[in-house]
Amino acid sequence: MKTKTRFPGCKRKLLGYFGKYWPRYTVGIVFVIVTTILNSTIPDLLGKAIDVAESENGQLAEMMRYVWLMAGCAIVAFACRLTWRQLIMGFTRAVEMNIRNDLFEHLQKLPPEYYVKNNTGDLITKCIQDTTTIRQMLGMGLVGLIDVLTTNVVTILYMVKTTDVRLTLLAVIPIPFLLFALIKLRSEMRRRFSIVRLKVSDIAGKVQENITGIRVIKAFAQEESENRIFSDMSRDKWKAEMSLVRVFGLINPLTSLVFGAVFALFLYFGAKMVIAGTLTIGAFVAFNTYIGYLMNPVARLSRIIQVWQRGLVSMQRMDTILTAEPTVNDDRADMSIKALSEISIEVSDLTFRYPGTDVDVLKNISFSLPSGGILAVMGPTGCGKSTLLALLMKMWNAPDESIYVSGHPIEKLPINTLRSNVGYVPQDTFLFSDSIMDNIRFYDDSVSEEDAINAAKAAVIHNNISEFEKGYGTVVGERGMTLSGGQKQRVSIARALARHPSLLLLDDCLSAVDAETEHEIINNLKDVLAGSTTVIVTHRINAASLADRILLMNEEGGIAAIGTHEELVATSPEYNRLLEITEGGV
Amino acid sequence: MKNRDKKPAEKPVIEGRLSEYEGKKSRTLWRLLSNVRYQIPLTCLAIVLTVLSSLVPVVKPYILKMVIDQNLETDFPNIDQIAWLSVLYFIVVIAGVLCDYFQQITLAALGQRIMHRMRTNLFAHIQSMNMTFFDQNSSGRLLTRINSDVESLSDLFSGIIVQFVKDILLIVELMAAMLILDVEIALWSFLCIPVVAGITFLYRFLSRRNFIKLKAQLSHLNGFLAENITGMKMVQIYCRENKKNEEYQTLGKEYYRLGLVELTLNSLSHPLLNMLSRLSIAYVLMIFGPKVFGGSVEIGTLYAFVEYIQQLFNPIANLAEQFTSIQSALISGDRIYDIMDKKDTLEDLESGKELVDFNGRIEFKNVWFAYVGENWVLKDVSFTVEPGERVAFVGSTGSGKSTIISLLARFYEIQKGQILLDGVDIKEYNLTSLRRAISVVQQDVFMFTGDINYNIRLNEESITDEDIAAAIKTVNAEGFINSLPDGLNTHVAERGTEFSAGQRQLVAFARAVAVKPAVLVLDEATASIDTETEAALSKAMETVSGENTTITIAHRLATIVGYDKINVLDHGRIIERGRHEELVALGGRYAELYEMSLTSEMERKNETK
Repeated sequence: MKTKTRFPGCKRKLLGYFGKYWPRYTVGIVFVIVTTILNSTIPDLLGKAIDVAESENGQLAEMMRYVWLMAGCAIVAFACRLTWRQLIMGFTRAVEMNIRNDLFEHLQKLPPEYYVKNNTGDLITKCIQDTTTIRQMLGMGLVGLIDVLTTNVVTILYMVKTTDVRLTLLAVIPIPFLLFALIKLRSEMRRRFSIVRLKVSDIAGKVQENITGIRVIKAFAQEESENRIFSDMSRDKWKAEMSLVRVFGLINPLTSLVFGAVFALFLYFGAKMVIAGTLTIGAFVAFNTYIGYLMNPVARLSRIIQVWQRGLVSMQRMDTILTAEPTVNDDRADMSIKALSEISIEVSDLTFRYPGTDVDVLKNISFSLPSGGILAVMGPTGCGKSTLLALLMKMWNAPDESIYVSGHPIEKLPINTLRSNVGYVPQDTFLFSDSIMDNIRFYDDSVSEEDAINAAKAAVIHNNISEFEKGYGTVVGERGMTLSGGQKQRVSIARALARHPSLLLLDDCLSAVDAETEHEIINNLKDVLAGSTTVIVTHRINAASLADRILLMNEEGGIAAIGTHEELVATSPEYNRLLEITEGGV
Repeated sequence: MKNRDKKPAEKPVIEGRLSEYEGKKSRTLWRLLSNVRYQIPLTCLAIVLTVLSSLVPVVKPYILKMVIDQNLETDFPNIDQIAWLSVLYFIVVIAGVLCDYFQQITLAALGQRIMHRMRTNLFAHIQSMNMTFFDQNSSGRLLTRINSDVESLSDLFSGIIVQFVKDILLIVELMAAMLILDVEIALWSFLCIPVVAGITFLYRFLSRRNFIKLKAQLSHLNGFLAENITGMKMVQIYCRENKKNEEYQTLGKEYYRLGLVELTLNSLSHPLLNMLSRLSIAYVLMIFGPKVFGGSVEIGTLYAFVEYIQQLFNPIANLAEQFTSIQSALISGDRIYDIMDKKDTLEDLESGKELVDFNGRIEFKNVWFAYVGENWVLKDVSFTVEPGERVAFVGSTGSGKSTIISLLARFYEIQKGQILLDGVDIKEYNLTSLRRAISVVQQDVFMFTGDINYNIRLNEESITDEDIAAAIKTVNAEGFINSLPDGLNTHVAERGTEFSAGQRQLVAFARAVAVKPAVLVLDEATASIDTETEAALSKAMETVSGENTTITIAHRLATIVGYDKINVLDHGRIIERGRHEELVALGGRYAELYEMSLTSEMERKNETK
């Protein structure tokens, strides 16, 4: 099948699960086949019972024997069906769970850029809905297929045996044509279905965005026009669904039409054979039922096709996650480096551009930061300050041998070894909807509650937290909505400080804190930072005053000046201009 | 250890209140159904097609019976009649096929139309909720309402309801056909119905509770993902992947367990019904046996009965399945209506006076405000802003500065006191016009998917390209925007994460200026912008504030030195007010704050000397 290459990642995963559970699945399928055979026996028994009733010297007891046999078949078939459902469907549920876990695990490895490019709502849809669709494909999809195939084969055999080859051919010949038509419809359906999915994702993304940005929408009174945009999107989805139904709706009627024709023909030719005496009435009735047995599975096939189509679309979508390679990995790392006691940083001639872009964000940056040293990075908006921090945390791959951490080139450092030493405070604070304590400890058992409280004190948030009714147990709302921007920032600082990081990276983290608190935090930081190597990105001379050295960047991402405050005052016109602006206002 | 139970479970159904819940559900069902009143012609068409197509399975076996009993069983079979019956059979098939196809299209159209209406109404309803509502409801939950919940309703309208009607029609028609053929045997056959219905009912009863749990667990999973995908970067930097994974797997495992319960119930009920359907053939034969041998019943009738009784099983079994789907739709419907019925947190955007030609005179008169209960955030706050004035609020974090802005845009209602705009109570103005007149640059800058142009203009068609260019110029964002690959048309991905905070702030500022507001409000807006841009911005601010009334929530005191009025807030009260010089001279809180903002500079200078 040409679909094979479309989802290598997902296929590999699925084969992996099959490898583990195949005995269970195989036994299940044997039971599916047994169930089918038993069910297909019933019309034959019915025909025989009728023939007994019809024959001149038929006995009621003989007829009843067939009747009891039918009942027996039905009961055993029930037991078999129950068994395979448990075996196979249970398996597919387990697969669903495993895929979901694997997906999440893989997502955790993907770099920040992945989350910039991919919409959250869409990723959620992939993790939840698409895994369900794949489960259905493996369950009803695959079992149904086997069921349909065995039913058809067994039924055809019975037809030939109990009646006549010519009549059987009459019933069987249309099937391939019907299937061909169904397959044509199927590919068209699949195309239309993926459009529907796309529209669903669009809507999910729009809703997510508008709810998160509701303040802006309200502040600018955009409700009406946003409603119009949403309405258009909803209408697009409606149109897409209708175009799907127009094709999908053909499947059942087409099947009924084909088999209806077969039935009508059989009615005539079968009746003629009965009159001619070459067919018994019992066989005539049984044959009738068998045509139904052929038709039901083919009709079901359309549903199975749908399950498969959805499943294949989902596999394809899922593969976009599974085949996304983490841009930063430990492939080239020297895994023997397990721990770093102290962190010193040496950056030499670092030039960096984001993969797939053609602009250097950082140009020829060089500096060295001894263990315990503090470096302030300043410069205009968009000059690459945050990028520099990201490179130091190995969120991106820096060019080889441009960054050394404690003497190791950063590309040789395992990610975990490096990051377990890092305390990072981002520009955009993000808190999980858990207690403040959980957010500060950040699910790390090695951080004690005491550490957390001390860190909160240093970040000047302890008193605020103590004022809350539930103290550190206060659950902060989704995205920390119940806290003010400044409070969130300070919790975020406490989170970084609580783990006594040997490398502390602060990305303009006091922006939403007022002057007084900022002052206090800076004073505390002076004590806390004693052991940590620190890089502070800041716009404020105040915060920069903590630093041993200041790296002033220019708009192009290069170094405008570097040195101590005094040196910069003495030598750098840019730095003096910065000072003037700050002081000039005062 | 932490656990997820801390989160309020979605719609907990307590044992004792189940009957109350039942009552609510049937109301929900009627409410959902009443939606078809907007689609009467389509509904009628769907019903006609449904009735017609339900007749087909009843007519088909009857034709066969006629072939058997009137021809094959007689001594003089009429081959012409058989041919005509075959043709009749085919005509019935074609009619059935046509009805079927158009029924599907009609139903889908009906469902989609109703869904479209509900989805857009729900979206509009949620959008017009006030901020308190958004503070209380997580976006994950709201997302589930508009997406998954509306989607499950679509199944209700497109499939379930009409299938339901069709099944009941079919049952009635089949029973009638059986009675016509042979009253006695028909009555014996009907004994199957209570058995099947009993199993159906039992199944429904058992699956219901599990299903509610399953859904709730699914929305937990949804919420977890939404949050963790947004906060993924932090998890990665702090190497917390394993912990988060464990948490996720625990949630997933519970979902799996509930899924297995559902599976067990399903794998019992479906095969059981299947078996009963087969057994019913044996049953019919048993009743018929003696009669056939007695010669009182014909084979064709027997055949028709075998067909009918099996046909009877399908709709009954379907009903069982539809109960599950209806339940799921009802749960979704309930949740949707819970939100739609929430009128107390709704904002009325339309009514009230238009705020036109707003002079910019703002007065707070003894305003008291609390987000929750009596936790006063603002206590007896009074101040005035005269047209054209530049007014600043300073104070430490949590002093209530940002709250003032939220109140100015009337995001929240105050509990005591009055806010007057041009001497008229803020509550008398129409919200839309109010928010157009007062333009806010917020602390948390938010960017929408689209391009920069869209992010500045939003959907305001009245803003011309020239206005945008002017706004960009005013806020000195020209340099940054021109440096982008596609300038104003540069694509902004979700939340604008590819832009730095400073850049986003610039865009937000431009957005606020572009609408040419009467009053411009800046909430710590210059916070994350680098010193140089900030200086340029504050110059721009002076230009803008020359024409506008400007309110600034500041913590960098340098920017507000030249302001007309400075209000110092402390724990929700205004404790000092005046001009910069006056306040410094006063030697109070402001002087303290100002001192502090200078200290570092002083230290620095001393060191240098």
